[in-house]
Amino acid sequence: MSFGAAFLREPDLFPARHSGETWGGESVTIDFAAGPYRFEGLGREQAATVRERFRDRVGGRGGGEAAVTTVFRAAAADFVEIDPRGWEWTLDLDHGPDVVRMAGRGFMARLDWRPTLAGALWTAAEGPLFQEQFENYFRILAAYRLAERGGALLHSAGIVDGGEAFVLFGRSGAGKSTISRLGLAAGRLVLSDDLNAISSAGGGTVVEKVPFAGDLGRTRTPRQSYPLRALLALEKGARSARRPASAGRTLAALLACAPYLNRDPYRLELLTANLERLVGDVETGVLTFDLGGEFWPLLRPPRPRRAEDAPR
Amino acid sequence: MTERGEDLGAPRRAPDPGARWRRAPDVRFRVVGGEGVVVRQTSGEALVVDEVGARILELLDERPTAAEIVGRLEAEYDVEPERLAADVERFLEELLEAGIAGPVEGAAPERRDDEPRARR
Repeated sequence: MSFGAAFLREPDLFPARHSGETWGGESVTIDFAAGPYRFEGLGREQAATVRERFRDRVGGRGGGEAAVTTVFRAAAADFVEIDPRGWEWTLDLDHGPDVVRMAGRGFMARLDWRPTLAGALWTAAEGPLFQEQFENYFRILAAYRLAERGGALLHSAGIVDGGEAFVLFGRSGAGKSTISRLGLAAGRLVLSDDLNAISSAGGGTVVEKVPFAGDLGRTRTPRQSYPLRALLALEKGARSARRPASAGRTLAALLACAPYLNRDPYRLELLTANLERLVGDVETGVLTFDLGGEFWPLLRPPRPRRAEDAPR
Repeated sequence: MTERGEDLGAPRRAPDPGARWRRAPDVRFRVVGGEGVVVRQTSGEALVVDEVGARILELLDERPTAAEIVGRLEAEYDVEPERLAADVERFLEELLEAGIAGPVEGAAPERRDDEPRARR
């Protein structure tokens, strides 16, 4: 099936430029990893929806050029009518050297490098459907923006322990939600049980909660990032254990957990370079965990003793 | 030579022994710490191959036959030729099964020039 055919009545008429009639004059800036992200051309109801949904993140800390997205009107007749009951779908993405096109339920969008990243979203919706579209679009925008800034969006559980973040990554079924629940029960701060943003800040690598993913995505957490202590691949096992993994294996596992860019032939190299650098910068390994929580000490294994520390 | 993370494709029929081999168009790989990291873009899956596997994947740029691969590796590694030939054959079958590489019968050895460039 050609790009967009599942969602668009006339895929060939997909907009070639950021043009059209905007919904209104409202603008919202969302402060988030690798941001800020500014959305322009919103209608009043759309802007209120975004502000309410991302209320913890609206406004900017200043600094940094915003990734700007313009929201345009589209006719409902442009889109294939989809009854969402009883099935799930995935967005349709199409990659080019300077563009990523996307189509989903009731919307179409594009990211362009002109040369900085800028986006456009066309929709006929204002209410709950617009919120769904917005989040789907924003997630992809953030993934690309993070990669441009040397980071990555990772399918992972992000758990803060002792002021440092542990990113426990794995594909669906690896145990991200389970270990996140165990973390909450043990009094740890859980950033997200599904997606976490890893980026560079102040000469180090930090992890930040993604505000639009997982069971915990909608919960309030401190608006801050945490230094990344370790990247650990999650594996199911009968008992808790942590073992080392080679750089190659860690990189391969990370690539499989980095959505959107890992299927983009034009930006896979960028993603791979970012992840390879991460693997070289922080602790890595494989963690299997038991439901009794015996694994917590494994997050912080004793550091190798230096010769000068040995008793004389 | 490979460690499969996930099922990457359905088995296909055995290739002609004289066939020339190439990587699948959607496959990218790089060498990290002596291992080869292979990514299939269409699925987002990734797997790891050992040092020799990585070298074979590099050699596929030249679209060699299995015998040509064995010849190159013989010159580079201290290994028994018969065992090497068997290992290469098995590895190519694994690559074929995983959809990572396949034979291009009748194709002359040449570099692909239609691969998209990465954006940085």
